[in-house]
Amino acid sequence: MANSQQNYFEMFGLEPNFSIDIPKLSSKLRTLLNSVHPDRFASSGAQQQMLSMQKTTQLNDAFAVLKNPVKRAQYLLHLKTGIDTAKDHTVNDPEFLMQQLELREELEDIVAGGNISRLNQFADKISELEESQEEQMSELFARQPLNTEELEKAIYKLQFLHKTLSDIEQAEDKLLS
Amino acid sequence: MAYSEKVIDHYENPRNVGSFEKTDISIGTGMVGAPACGDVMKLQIKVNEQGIIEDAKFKTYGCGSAIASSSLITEWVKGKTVDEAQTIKNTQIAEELALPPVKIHCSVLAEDAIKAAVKDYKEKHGQ
Repeated sequence: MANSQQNYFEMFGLEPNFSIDIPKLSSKLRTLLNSVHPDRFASSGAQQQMLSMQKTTQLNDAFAVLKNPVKRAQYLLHLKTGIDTAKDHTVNDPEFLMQQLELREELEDIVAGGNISRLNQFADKISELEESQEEQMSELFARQPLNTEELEKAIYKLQFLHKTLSDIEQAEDKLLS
Repeated sequence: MAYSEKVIDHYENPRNVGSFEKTDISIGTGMVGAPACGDVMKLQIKVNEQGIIEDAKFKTYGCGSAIASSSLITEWVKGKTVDEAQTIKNTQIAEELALPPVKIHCSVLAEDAIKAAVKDYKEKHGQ
């Protein structure tokens, strides 16, 4: 069973890196969940069953963080440096924010026009931006010593791109319904 | 979550939505964002020769509270000097709109946006 003192990466037998093989992570999760499944402890005492439920929750929590690139980056930065980027704060990066504003305007136009193929093209464009941002994140986390300022920037950039992607998903649902 | 009537009013009938020409010498532009919720806010002020804010415009992509906060602050800054505008506190916005604790950061964003706009204006004028 996983030890509760382990960090999320250790729980899955991983080194603390930003790059993660998600399909592998998913299958590892299934194996681990199976090994701690409460049914296995049906004949054990109440304490053992409670423990197995606790482990199940911990594994699911860890998986939810590791599979999400924003949460994974925030967790990893916190693990390595103690810096907390999950709290509410304002960023002041006019050039980047102007670009984000323009992307949201573009999305608004597309939704108003109701053209699903344009929306798909736009989704591809944002996904590409997101992927290159994730690549940059991997490189930043691989550097020694860590450039925390650059990492904090890379994290908020990923957060804004993620928000745009989730807006796109909502727009898709709207246009297709 | 229930929005207050004032939030709904500003959200449904936002005041001063739009843009000014960024490069104009009389315009100050503030661009701020809140990564946790992905909100982006652009707030612009148009300042006359006496240093009074004649007009203000905003464009915000975010939740109802973020839109209401920016709409309200554009109303409030009109007729104020740039220095007075800088003294507006997020708590005043939050109180006026009766924002719940989880939405306080939306009012912080509006305060930061006006400060950024004044800073941009002052930098343009070598202050």
